Amino acid sequence: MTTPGNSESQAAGEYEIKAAFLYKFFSFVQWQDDKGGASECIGIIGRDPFGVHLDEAVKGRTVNGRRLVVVRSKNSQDLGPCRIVFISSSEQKDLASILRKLPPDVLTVGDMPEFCERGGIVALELSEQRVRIRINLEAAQRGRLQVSSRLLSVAKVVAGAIQ
Amino acid sequence: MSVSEESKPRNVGGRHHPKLPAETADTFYVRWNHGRVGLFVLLAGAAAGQQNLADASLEQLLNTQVTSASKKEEKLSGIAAAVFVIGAEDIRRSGATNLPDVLRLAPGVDVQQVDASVWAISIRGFNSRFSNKVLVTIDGRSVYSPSFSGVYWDQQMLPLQEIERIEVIRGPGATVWGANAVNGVINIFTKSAKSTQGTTLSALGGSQTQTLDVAQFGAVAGSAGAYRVFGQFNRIGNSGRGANDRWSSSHGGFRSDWDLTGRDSLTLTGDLFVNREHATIRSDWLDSPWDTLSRQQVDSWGGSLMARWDHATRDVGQTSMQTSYTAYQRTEFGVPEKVKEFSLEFQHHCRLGNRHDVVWGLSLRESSTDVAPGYVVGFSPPSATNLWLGAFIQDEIRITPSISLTLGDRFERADSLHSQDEPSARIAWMPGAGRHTFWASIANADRQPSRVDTSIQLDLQTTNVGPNTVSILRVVGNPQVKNEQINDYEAGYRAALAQELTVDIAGFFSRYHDLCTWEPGPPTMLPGSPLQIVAPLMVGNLARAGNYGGEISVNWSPVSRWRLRTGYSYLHATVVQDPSAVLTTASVSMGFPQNQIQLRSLVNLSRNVEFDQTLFYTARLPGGTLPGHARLDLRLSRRFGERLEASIAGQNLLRNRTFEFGDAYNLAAGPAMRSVYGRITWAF
Repeated sequence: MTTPGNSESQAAGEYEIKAAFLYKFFSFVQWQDDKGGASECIGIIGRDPFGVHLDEAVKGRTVNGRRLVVVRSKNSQDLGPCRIVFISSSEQKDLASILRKLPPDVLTVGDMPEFCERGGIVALELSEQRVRIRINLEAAQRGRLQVSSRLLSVAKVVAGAIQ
Repeated sequence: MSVSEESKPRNVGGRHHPKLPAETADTFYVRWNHGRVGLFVLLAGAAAGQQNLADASLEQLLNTQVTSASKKEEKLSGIAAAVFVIGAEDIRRSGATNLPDVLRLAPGVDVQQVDASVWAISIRGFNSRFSNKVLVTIDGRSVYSPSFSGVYWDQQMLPLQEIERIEVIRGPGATVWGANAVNGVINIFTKSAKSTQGTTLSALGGSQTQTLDVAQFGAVAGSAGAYRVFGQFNRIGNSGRGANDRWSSSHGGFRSDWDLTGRDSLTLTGDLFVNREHATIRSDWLDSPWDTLSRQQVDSWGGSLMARWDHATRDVGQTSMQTSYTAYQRTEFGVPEKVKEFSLEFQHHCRLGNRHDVVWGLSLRESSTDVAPGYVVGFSPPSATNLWLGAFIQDEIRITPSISLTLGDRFERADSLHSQDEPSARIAWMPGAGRHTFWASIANADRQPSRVDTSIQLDLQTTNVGPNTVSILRVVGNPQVKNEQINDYEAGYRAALAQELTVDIAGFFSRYHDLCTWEPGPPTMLPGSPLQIVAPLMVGNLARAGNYGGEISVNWSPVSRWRLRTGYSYLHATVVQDPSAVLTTASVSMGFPQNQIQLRSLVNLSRNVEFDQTLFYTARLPGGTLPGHARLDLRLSRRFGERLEASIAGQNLLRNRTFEFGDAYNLAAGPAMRSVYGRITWAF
């Protein structure tokens, strides 16, 4: 009796969880226009904190019938085709210029302090040993991104700058 | 793109095809979560069959605890108890064909084969065919029989490929898991139906396990659910020429997992089994004019149903409700026994502030046992229904980032006579970024009397003592019998010394009170023809024990394709009779070896070829006549693509036959035989 087990893992590394969120956002955000192409991509700007986890999370996955790939670059121009771009904490100083250079309909995600307040769209924060979501809804609306109510119901909507 | 519900990309555009489990890294990292999960396990690398995090729902992700902020600390294991986890990969590569043989993999678990269908299994002492101090659960449902306090292992023949992991906790776990978790807890978890889709067929043929055929089919049901069904047929031959312990088992069942909402999930399981077994009874126990060995048949059938509802609360807590019903009928040596058990449990796991991680729960268990009167073994009264109620709370307090203190207590009540509380305190210190864990614990636990203790009527010996007069030596149950109790003190050290080297050491000292004994009572005369003079042996609580010992396990992977696992356990047991005893016949069993060693080597000869070797050594049982014995198991497997695997395995290769345990009560022992089998597994 007692303590039935859960077959799903209940604990994981921080970036394993954050990688899963990055993939998950495709299901909860709607983009206005189709970018075309054979694949969808998740971009990473700056030092990659995910290790193997992001590649593992997207391995063999498809979005809208398209293969999902991860693109890493120092240069925001390279990541224009990506729907979702993770901006690493290593780029803290350059955040403003990166946000300006990226197309507005890119869902920007980050975990540096004040990410939403400084104009990013989705912040993944660590609180009480869980990953929490904060959303700068105005920035999302500017890119005409529709964030599902389910995502909003578990996220904290914050006011932030719009680059 | 759908925004209403998470998409399930893996299943888009066709059925997800199963693959045979591939080689995976299998170093376990365990954390104490003492919530409804009890423990949870992290695998370094994706485990075979384990759900990918990216398949989890949004809420599950939000609820997933971050093990640590840095990658290094991810490999920490901070549980303040002696724990060993057997994973799916371990099970597959062990070559074991039944659950008891799988349990041999956990250091400190003593598994001895009595005959082909009977095992004596215990942890830290008191092993016997009816060992009663280890609680065993399958998906949270207790399989510890309320009739005799123990497990009929032959009734737990679930397909081993369904098992995701087995958590073996040595030492008392009663605060969280409840009564009877005295010397340990064995929690068996089956895989989620979501991770076993497609069809898998497996056929095995061999010299001892003659047939072991398993068919499993799994599929998704709509967007939110998945199910699987399985059937297994198993036929085991006699242990050598002239032996009479062959048996067969048919087992079928299902599991279904549903996401009701993003926060609620439902799991349903059910199974049915039918066993037919043969056994040899040594009847020199009974003074009878007939031959001393007689052939008997054991028939059993039964089943279970379980439903569990999990809810993730908004404040990152969890609640769960589980209910189960288990029933079996077993006719052993002509004596029919019927057991039904119902249980209902509730648990809530929540955080209070930054430092407190609290879990509390309520449980209700009702069982009815029924043994028909008129046989050599019976219960008086023949039928009874028992109700147990329990409540527990446990708080893990983070004193500093590296020190946590866990305090808990459980109160249980069976009736006015049998209530108990089972407190525990555990402390863990994890210096060095969590690479080392030092822990210590104090815990109490009780074994509740079973029907055997309170109501048994067992005629040990019937002797003709004169014309028309017989004398009967009869064990008589005692409704006043008390709980057996343990006060346990433990300490341990666990470390990931390097990526490829982990060490786990635990030591314990346990004091037992009120252990059950048989004490002679005044003879009574029962008039009639023949005249019966009954010499009773009353069940009492007139023994104590002080045991100490420890276990060590070391895992080392010198190169990535070669893994070594070693285990050693030591036990020193001292059982003494109470000063108030007149002449105690201790029914407390001493059948536990002082020293046990295991060495396992898992080698990947190439990408598709595995060669696994396991050597066990069990020392002579104290006071026993059987010599110490070694056991060598080998397994060689070849994978053909992702769908087909063929393997051959040898078990007990060192000797023709090994008597591991000896006779158990009046059951004549059958040896573990040298045996070979071949197996093909096809997933499509």
